[in-house]
Amino acid sequence: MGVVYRAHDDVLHRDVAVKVVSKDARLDSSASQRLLHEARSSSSLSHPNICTIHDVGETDGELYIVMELVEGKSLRDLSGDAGLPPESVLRYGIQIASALARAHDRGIVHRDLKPANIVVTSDGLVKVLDFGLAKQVGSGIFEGPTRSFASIEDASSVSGTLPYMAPEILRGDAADYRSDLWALGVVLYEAASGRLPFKGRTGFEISTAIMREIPKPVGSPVPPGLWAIIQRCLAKEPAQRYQRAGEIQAALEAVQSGAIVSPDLATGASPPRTTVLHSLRHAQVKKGDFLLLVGTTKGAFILRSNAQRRRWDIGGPYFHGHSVYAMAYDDREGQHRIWASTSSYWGTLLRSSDDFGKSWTNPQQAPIRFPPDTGVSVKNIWQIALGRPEEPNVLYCGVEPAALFETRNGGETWSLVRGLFDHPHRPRWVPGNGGLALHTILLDPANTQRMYVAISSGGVYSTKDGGSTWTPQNRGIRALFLPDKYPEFGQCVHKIAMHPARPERLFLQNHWGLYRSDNAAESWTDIANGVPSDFGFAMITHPTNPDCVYIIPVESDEFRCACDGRLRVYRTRNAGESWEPLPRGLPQKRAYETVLRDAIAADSFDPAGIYFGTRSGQLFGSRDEGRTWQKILEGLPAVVCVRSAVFEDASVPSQPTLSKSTPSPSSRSKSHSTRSSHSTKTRKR
Amino acid sequence: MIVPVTFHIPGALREFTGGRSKVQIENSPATLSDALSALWTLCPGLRDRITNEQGQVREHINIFIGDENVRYTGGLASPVSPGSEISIVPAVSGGGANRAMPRKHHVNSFREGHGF
Repeated sequence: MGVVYRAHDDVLHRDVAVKVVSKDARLDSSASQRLLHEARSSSSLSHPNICTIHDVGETDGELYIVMELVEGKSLRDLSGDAGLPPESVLRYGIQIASALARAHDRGIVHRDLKPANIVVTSDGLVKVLDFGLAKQVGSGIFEGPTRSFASIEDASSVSGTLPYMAPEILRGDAADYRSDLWALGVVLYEAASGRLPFKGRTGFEISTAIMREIPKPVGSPVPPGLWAIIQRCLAKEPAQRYQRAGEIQAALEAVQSGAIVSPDLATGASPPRTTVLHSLRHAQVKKGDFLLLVGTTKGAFILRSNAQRRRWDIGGPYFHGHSVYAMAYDDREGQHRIWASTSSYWGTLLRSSDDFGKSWTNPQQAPIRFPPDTGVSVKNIWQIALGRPEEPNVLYCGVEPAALFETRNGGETWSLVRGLFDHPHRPRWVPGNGGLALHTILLDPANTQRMYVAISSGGVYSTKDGGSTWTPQNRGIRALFLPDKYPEFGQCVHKIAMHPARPERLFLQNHWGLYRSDNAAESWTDIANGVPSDFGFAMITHPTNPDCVYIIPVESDEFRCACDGRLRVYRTRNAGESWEPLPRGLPQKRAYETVLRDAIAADSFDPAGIYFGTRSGQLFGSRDEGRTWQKILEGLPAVVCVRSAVFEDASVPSQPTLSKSTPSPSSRSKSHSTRSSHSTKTRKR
Repeated sequence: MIVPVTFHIPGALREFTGGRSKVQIENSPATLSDALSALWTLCPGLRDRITNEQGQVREHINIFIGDENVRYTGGLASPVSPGSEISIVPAVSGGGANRAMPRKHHVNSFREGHGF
């Protein structure tokens, strides 16, 4: 738009810079007036980090701006390809933020902040140049026009400022203070790393990256505090950014002082997004291997075997000392991701590993969190349930206090299912012995709008509209601890299970009571026929036989141990008409064991394998559907979760799914391998 | 001259402080809340470990300014002086200060919850 001359002011005897807007620019009179107006407004800015404008005017039809002559190098030239040391980024960033703070206080937005507009003098003083595009906020002039991608492309090629434009500008909104703060984030990122956070070969690609992508971490040696500041500047929504440049200045100063006082912080601490576990023994998992994922109150273990399931390699303990109540294996879309919830004094996190435990995500911010208006906080994650196969990026988590969270982007972001949280019954749900937990999530494979959750103590609730509204489904279920023995809700349900081939039929293990519903939980019938106790926790359906269910009764709510000191699994093969004990190989004397609600899983082989862990830290398995049992491991911490999985060989072609082996959402949430078998083929030993 | 405030970081959280057991801040916080805000800026991963999503110090974590447990001195509004030493301590080693429980009961209460 113009030419810059070095000139000499003969009156004040100083060198100055004169920016002349040539006639060739063909500014109409309104544009000329606008430019003059902006230059005048900028000339009111007096700040050591802002290039001073001495004079503006017009002569012979040419506009000119007389500015302080700044000699130094642009931040662009200084940064180079490798970026600057963090100390320099902080030193310059503080000065840029200070300049912006002054301009913003005067109602002036820079609109074109970029390294080429930032000069650093030989003594380290930063000067922000060229408020020539600045807009007098509120004056109504030079409102940001709606930009088409074509004009953005053009803007990119002409001014090169597209990479610094905030998403809201690309959406056609007017720039405000916060657009400058975005640009400052880009400037800091580039200064720290030598590269742009949002790149592309064309303007369209750059714009798309700005609108959608999360910038890659700048990495070491940038201190985590500086990276956090950059990330907040680069929040897509202006409301999520810092709201004032002064805040950024203060934050940068805090990091600077911290970095100086605690120098190691600046050199040794890139954000621990991932924890790599070098000192642990890991199971060496190969394609075709069979896995047991075991969550305990003091960490997680990954057991590996082959199809024979006789010898086991043990990896772990992962999350040493943390309780791991929920695990899941997700191989949708070709991934092989293990999910785990971890809970300790330091909070509750959902983590994942894509390399069978060698490294785990370690998010700085807990991914599953209640919104501020709820006033409650996550105590534990009790259940991780995969979405339906046709929704590969959907997962659900059931948490304590009782609530359901869902993600639709593979776990990047999670949201509270408000329809359930805002249910008028929720204030009247009460904690059971283990807290008020939503511990089971079942998806109807045939009806994508229907799902069930179980809450202790709240009962069973279902939705028929994808989670918007929820209905209690507890007709016929006893609540012995309440005056009304058959209330609408408030039952202490311990587990519900569904076979995907019969999604209208559910089984339920209650706090006293064993039930079946044949009408999608509309009503329940007692099926405690021939069991030593109808109190218990664990319950799963057989992977392929919809009439077959496994439970492990315990004596009573007072004495939550195997009845008579005999550890027995019970099985029905006629949907609860009768039950048979499966004791062979299990301890039958002084075995006061407890098997908790998620500490049982089935596998995908034929005949099916069944696995369970006890509160005393023993792990048992059966390769013949429960007819005989073997002890796999003992001495574990209390087992609270068992899941099974097969690391599928991608080269094995999938077989069409048979109706009787449709994947079970319930089984998926408990045992990925159940689904694996259905989606490929049943394995013969 | 500003006398820095020093945070003492427990071992479990040092992965968020570059391995350091002490983190110092120099911006003269007036309250614990101010000091923690400065700490979050330096070490963002500490925030969700020490406070819950509602901004409250987690139940089983105690914070001491000097020798005083902040639960008795105003919580997050507790005053911080230049040179203060602030310790972040998991309650496992002594029971929750808001629960007059001996250690054994405290640990048991944590474990007992798992059965249900």
